Order: sequence, then structure tokens, then C-alpha cells
Amino acid sequence: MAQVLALAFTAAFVVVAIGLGRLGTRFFDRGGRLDCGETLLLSFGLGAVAVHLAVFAVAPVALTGASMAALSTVLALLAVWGWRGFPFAAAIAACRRLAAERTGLTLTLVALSVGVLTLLQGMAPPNTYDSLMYHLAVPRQDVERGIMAPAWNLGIHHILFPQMMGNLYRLTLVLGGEPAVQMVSGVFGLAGAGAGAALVRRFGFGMSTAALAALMFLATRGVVWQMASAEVDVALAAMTTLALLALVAAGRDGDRGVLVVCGLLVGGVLSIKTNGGPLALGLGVGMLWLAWRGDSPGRWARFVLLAPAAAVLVYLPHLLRLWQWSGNPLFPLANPLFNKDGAAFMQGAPLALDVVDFLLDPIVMFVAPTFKFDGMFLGGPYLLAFLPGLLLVGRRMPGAVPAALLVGVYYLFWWVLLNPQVRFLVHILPVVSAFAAIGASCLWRHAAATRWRWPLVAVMVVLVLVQAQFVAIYAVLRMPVALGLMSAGDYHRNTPTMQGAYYQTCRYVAEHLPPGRTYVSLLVPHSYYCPQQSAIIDFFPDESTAWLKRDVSPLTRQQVLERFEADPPAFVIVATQWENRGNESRRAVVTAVDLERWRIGRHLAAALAGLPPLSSDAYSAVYDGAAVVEALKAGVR
Amino acid sequence: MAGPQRPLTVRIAACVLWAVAVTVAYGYFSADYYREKVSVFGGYLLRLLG
Repeated sequence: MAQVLALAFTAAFVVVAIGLGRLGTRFFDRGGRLDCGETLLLSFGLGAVAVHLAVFAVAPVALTGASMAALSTVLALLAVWGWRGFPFAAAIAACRRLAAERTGLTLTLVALSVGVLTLLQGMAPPNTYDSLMYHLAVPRQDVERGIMAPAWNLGIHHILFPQMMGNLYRLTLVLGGEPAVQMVSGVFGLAGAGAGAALVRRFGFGMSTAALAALMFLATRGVVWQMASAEVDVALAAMTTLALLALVAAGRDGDRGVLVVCGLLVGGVLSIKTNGGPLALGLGVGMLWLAWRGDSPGRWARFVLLAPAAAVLVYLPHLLRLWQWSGNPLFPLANPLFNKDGAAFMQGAPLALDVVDFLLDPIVMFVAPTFKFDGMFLGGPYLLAFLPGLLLVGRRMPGAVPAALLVGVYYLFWWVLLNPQVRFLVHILPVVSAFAAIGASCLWRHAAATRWRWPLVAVMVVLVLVQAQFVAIYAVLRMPVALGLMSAGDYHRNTPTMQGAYYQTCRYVAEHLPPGRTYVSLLVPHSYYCPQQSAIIDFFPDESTAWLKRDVSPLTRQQVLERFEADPPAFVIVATQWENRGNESRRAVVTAVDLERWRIGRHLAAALAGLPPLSSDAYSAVYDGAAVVEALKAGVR
Repeated sequence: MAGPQRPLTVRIAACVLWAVAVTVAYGYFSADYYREKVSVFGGYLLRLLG
């Protein structure tokens, strides 16, 4: 039943988002620059931004079933208006043209199969680190208390990150249920693939190359992993590529309306993740290039002012909310600048600029990813293998320069500040996939009639098999539980490499915590599955914003005891060990958790050592709160 | 025709050899990774399939 509701909600979300967005594309694309497919894709992007802004307006007042249902009704009615006059005949004609092209149809069906298979895996219970820590934990806390407000008790700056996807997850948790959340995230993966394919068409290539670009993006290991999670990187990739598509469609003469669409989508890029800043910068450099290539100062002004103004308009609510909540409209960036005694967050590692690394990293991340980077994020090296095929294009590719500028500017930013996390490159992956697909297509066209045909076929077969096993293994791991053939407990407990998401421990707390009581959580991270509002993590409720300050005073054992006596915790839950896979073979190295790093936990280590847990699994344990307080008292005496 | 054809043939050969080299290098550097994954997931999949 939950699966049916999730499927229905996801489908409704897509239909409403496209309908809402089409109000925008119909109004702004008066020159008819966008074809049917582009209109659908860009409408989805605009509609998703609209839903986010609507939730952002209503949730701080009421985040309940009634408020979200009322909001959704209004949005759905507007969407009906947006769907009016949609050129269904043109869409059917486009499908017929595709059906007549055998290679294009085959590749489209394979890409769709991979995409839909991954989308359905979103119904598996969430288990990725960042989802558990804040992408889902923060919306869940808001749903628990029925209002959107800062989740100060989590004690992490991530709670005030851009909230576009968080707002979509809030709406989904309330109306669609947990299994729908990751599917909503997955829909953005399909949009990103579609945007990459549409770019290929804009560059002047056919349906088969476009479908190959979509397939190359969807089959990337990290995309398969993230599409079926509540992470936001794939959504950011989709929104960035949609903005680029609008920019390319606006053309050298800078169609005013399509530029506004581009700007609104850049606002979406900024509203999804802090990395949206450098991506917007990369898009801005592409705009400047188009402006420079344009013909008149008026067109210059359109490029330089119109799109950025639209972007700021979309991003403004987030800036104002940050200012209201933290005193810093750029929080967590530049915090000491706005808050004199504020802590500095997101401090990058010291730069170690090396020209050889700069040139070799794009190769190393594909051929030896476990040696330097964050694991096998991309899977096989097919993108790298086929990019040189661009040397065989032999003609101009309209719109390719802004795309290349986006990739170049963002890669530079990534290399200087985010290296070695390849997962942050997923944001430009639809564009890189578009270029790689064009390279593969041109290479095949030229090599097919030469003696290089069979070596090329051999490489293609190997790369397809390598990548197919990544697609398949995720399906095998997640589909049984997604379809309800396996329990969530068994899935978390038995699936290798997943560490259980603290599911059993959190379920114990959720089922046994008396109403109105608090509990202490020493989990790393504090899991989404645990009750959120009642958790005391590293700061007691009377000092819940202390972590925003530069100097955080430590607690004495006596102070901890006094607070426990005033408000006794029902439970103390503790992470006991974790698996570190940061090595070349990704072999698990089990490491005990050191409670000394916790402000409260360091005083509890000795008390917990002599107590039997109420419940435990391989990675965590639950202790009775009263017993812990007694043991702590004995230690103080 | 031989003149213009030769650079094209060289570019095709270079692109194919690049793809081969990248694929072989990936296999070489990822051997340990695959050994580990086969041992971790192999047993799990066998248990899953009963």
C-alpha cells in the first residue's frame, strides 16, 4: 500500500510541477524558442522551484497534513491551468519520429529502463549518511513539531543549508510518506538525463546520440546510488543542466523570456546546495561569453542583468530566512564576518596546488578512483574513454562553448576547494555525459568502416559490462525491500557495507520513548530514524544554539548530572563502532567509537562501561537513562 | 584523398588506443576493489537467492 501511495504521489508531483512550470514557460517563451521536450523539461524545473517556494512560505506557519493538502490543492489547480493547450500532438509526433529511428529508440528504451529501475529503488528505506544526518532528519523534525524552524538541537551547521530539496521532502513526508521521498529525488535524475539529451540535440546531433548521453549519465554508479537516496547532488545536476539548456536555447541574440527562465532556474541551482554558487558562476561566465558574442548593448544588458536578477529573486527568501535565523544571510559561509563571536564553518583544507595533479586528476579519478578519491563513484571509465572522440566532430557545435565554460569553471573550483570528493562533480555530469556521448558517436561513425572497428567494439563491450554490474548490484540490493519483499530491519541489518543506519536502535527509542521525555543520542550521525525533537545530542535544550559561537564552554560532570536530575533522559543511545572503508580496496576496517569527542558523552563513557544495554546491534546500543544517571552519580561520589 | 585521410585515420587510431588504454588501466588499478566486492557481495547474494 505504501508503495502504491509513493508511486501515485511521485507521479502527481511530476504532473503538478510540469503544469506549474508551464505557466512560466508559456509566459516567457513567446518567441517559441523551446521545442516540446525542452518545454516539458524546463517546466519541470520551474515547477519544482515553485513548489519549493510555496512550501517555504507556508511551512514556517504550519507544516501539517491539512496545510500541505490545502497548499497542494491550490498548486494542482494552477497546474491544470498550466497544462491547458499543451501541444500533445507535437509530443506524439516527436515520439513517432523517435520510434522510426531504431538505434535511438533502443538506446532510449535502455536509458529509460535504467532510470525507472533506479527510480523504483527509491522506495527502499533511506540509508545514506547525509540523508540520515540532515537531508531527511531536519524535515522529519519539522514534521514532528508541525512547523518549519531551525533544528538547533542537531548541533550541525548543515541544518541551515539551502532548503529547496528539503522543502520538497517536507511536503512529501507529510503527504506521500517516506517511500516517496527518495523517488521525488530520483525524478530529478531523469530530468538531468533528459536535459543532457536535449543539450546534445541543441549541439546539432541526433536522437541516438542524445539517448546515449542520457544513458551515460543514468548509468554512472554515483547517480544510481544518489537517485534512490535523499541526497541533493543529482537534483543540483539536473537544475544546473536545465539552466544551461535554457541559456543555450536563448542563443546569441539573447531571447529575453528564455533568459528569465534561465535565471529562475539558476535561482533553483542556488537554492539546492551551497555548491550552486560556483555552478551559477560557471553559468554566468557562459552568459558573458554569449553577451560578448552578441550584437548590441541591449542584448548585453539582457545577459548580464536579466538572468541574474531572476536568480536572486528566487534565492532571496532563503537569504532572508538565514538572516532572520542566524544573523548571517550567507550562513554557514563567512560567519565570523556577520556574527562577531560566531564560529567559522566550512573552512577548507589548506590549498596544495600542484599543476601535475591538476592535469592528471581527471584521469586518475576514472582509472584509479580508490587510490586518491572518495571511492568508485563513477564506476567504469567510459566517459573518459570516449571524450577524445570530440576531436572527430569536425564542425561547429552551437551552444557548446557555454557548456564547456561551465564544466571548466566548476572543475577549477572543485579542484581548488573540494578535491578529492568526486561526488561533487556529479553536478556537471549530464554535460560531461553529453560531450562523451558525442565523442563516442563520432568515434563509432568514423571507426566502424576501418580496421579499428573490432578493438573499439571490444572496449565498448567491456565498458558496458563493467557499468551494467554497478547498475545491477544496486537493483539486487534495493529492489527486494523497495517492493516489500524484505523487511526494513533485515535490509538494514544484513546488506553489506551499509552499517545499519542505526535502524534497530532508533526503532527501539521510537517505540519506547514516553511522550514528553527526552533522550541522549551519541550516534554518528544522529539518525533520521530516531525521534528528532526529543533528542539531546551535544547540547542541552537551554544551550541549544551554543554551537554557533566560536568558544563553546565544556561541561563538567557535575553540570551534566545536575541537568540529568532536572530532566532525566529516558535513554542514552551510543554508537559503539563504525566501518572505515577509506582505503584502496574499500575493505572495511572496524573502528571503535571514542566517546571522548562528545561534550556530554565524554562524561558518560565510564558509566556506560559497566551497564548492560537494553538493546544493541553491531554498531550501536541503547541504555536505560535512569541507570546511566545512577552510574554517573556513583562516579561523581 | 590519401593526404586528408591520413590525419583522420591517425585521430581515429589515437582515440581507440586511448579508450583501450583507459579501460586496461582501470582494470589494473581496480583489481583489489573487485576482489573485495566479490567476496563481500558474493556471499550475500548467494544467501539472498537461498
